[in-house]
Amino acid sequence: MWYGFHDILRDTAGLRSQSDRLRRKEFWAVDDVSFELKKGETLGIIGPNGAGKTTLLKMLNGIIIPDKGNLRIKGRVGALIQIGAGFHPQLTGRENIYINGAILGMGKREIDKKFDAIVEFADIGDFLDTPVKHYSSGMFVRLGFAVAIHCELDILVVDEILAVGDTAFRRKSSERMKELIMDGNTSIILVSHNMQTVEAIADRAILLNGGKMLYSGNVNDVVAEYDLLMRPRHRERVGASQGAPLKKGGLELVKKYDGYAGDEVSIRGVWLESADGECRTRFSSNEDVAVCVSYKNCSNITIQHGFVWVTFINEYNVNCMGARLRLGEHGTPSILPESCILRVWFRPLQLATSNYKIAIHFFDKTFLVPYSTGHYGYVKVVNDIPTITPGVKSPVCWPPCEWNLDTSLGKEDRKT
Amino acid sequence: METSRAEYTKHIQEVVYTPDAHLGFGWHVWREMARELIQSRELMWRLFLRDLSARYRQSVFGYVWAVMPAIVTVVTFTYLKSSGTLPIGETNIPYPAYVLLGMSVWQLFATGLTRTTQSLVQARDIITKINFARETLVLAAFGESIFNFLIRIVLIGVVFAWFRVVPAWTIIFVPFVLIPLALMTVGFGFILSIANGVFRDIGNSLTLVLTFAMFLTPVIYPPPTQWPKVLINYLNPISPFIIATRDLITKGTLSQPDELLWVSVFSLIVFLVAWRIFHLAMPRIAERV
Repeated sequence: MWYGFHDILRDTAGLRSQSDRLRRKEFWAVDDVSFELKKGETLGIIGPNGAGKTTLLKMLNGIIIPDKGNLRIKGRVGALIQIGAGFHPQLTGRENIYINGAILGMGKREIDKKFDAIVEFADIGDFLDTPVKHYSSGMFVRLGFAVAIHCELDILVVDEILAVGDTAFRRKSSERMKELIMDGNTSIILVSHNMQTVEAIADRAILLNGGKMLYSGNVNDVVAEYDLLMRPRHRERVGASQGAPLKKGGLELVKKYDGYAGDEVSIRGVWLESADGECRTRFSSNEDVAVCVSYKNCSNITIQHGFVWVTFINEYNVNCMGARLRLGEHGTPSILPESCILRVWFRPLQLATSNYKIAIHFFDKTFLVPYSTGHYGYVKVVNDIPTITPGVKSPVCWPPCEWNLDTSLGKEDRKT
Repeated sequence: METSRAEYTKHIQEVVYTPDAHLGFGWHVWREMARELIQSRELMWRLFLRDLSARYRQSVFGYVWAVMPAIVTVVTFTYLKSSGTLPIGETNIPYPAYVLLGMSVWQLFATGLTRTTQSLVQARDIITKINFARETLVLAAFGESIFNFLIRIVLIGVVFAWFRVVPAWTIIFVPFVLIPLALMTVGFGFILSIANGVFRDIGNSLTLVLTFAMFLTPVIYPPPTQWPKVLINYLNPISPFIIATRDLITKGTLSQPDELLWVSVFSLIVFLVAWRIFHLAMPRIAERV
């Protein structure tokens, strides 16, 4: 409250507001976010709740002025930050169309001309002359959206509005937005938590989290990134000293079953390599990936015909996929070398989008005596097809398959 | 539609939002403010109609409520005076007409100030969501006060006819007295509405303050002539307007022409400065209202 008073006083006096510095308990709602949008382009802004999306939109709309940095906008900006803002509950739909239109910058003649189109789009039928307080929430939103979408805007800023309304209306709204995009005159900035909407409408997207821009680029990539961000994270940790990775870019030990396995085999490092030998913690499904384990046999035991297990555990603790080596098979020596770097290739990785831990186990030949067990994490895998539709779920794996579309049968059917 | 689009495209302007561009009292800012206001005159009218029809919808007496406060006050003070409870000096026209006239002008100011002060907070919904000239909210709120005043004029006419009071010809100059009063009201309204946006205390205490202020203004009594009460005529910026209106309607001469001139100049300055502050403060208000 006092900050507000102070800011207004300084602005009035023409002093620099000093607002580029944070005061006690303040934070940057949007920090260091840059993007450019050209005419006719569509940008999606996605991110978890409280990421700063709405604040960014308010700045784009000129409702609030940034305390640092600048925004350069050419053209008439209209924001659908809240649908039906300015609707007066006592007044009828017809009166509110005129008021809302005027607030959004339309003149009376412009509204008169578009009145029928607005009413038709809103599909409120006989309720046109009923006070909007009696409207269902769907009708309220439809009317608000109908008015806003009929303004001739250069830049349309849409904040999470297609989430409301029924499927038919949502489809109609998306279509109308696509129409605007097709005309090439309107740029759209879209904020939504519905990734399908974003993917359907936007070309590019930025991902915000905690006011920072995490990612910017092609909409599919950004949506995949968001998908990853929204997944539950495992926060099991062992002692920091134990968990520190030995190799740069290597994985940390996140879980160890103490007392079950001896430390006969000591793991010195676990990391993942791509086909070109690059060490990363982020891969896409269709990449070739090698899991690399550097170990040392610290005991005097000779491990002959023992087993090495490598499995991927996803965020729901499902062991999705793995590889098992029995020493002596696949051209490996039957006795485990005292120390070496072991590589197992997954060609391609095949896994669906998730944060994975990698479980690495060494066993004796009976598979009863563990020499080393541990979970190492985390590895992000991104698959570029996100699925949100109910009833459509990603499998845990996308193995390389052979497809065959045999059309011969169909042709014969038609002949007969 | 095509033509309007093409026509519009010609006027496309580039806007830059930076932290400090909106500061200062520069000339270009005044131009921008004036342009914005002219562009949104229709919005102002819409908002005014909206408030008006919303206020009197679902009410049996409707617009009668616009004159009710004035009638109640007039009846109360007429009774208090005739019963001798309040020692109020003689007035040159029958007392009910006298009070009604004073009350009407006073209410133009008081109602205007209350409505404008609340206008921003009441519209917080749109202020934080849509970018438009927020001055329209304040002006539309004042419009309601003007509307009430116009209705009261009808009442004044009836009361004058009842008491067979013939107004002086100088009544035609009354609008020139009321315009500066309107400017001052809107000016104070601009300031108080932003103040109320930050501190709600302002709006809550305003009604109390105005009730008290009415007794410091020659509304229900004739302008005092004795020291120290005579200060009311000079130090209260509203007094000269009320005195002048009464003078023009009942006497045909101005008893305080100098004071009237000074307050008029003062009100113009108040209006301009307040408008500018309002314009500057808007983004801050949108953050905090």
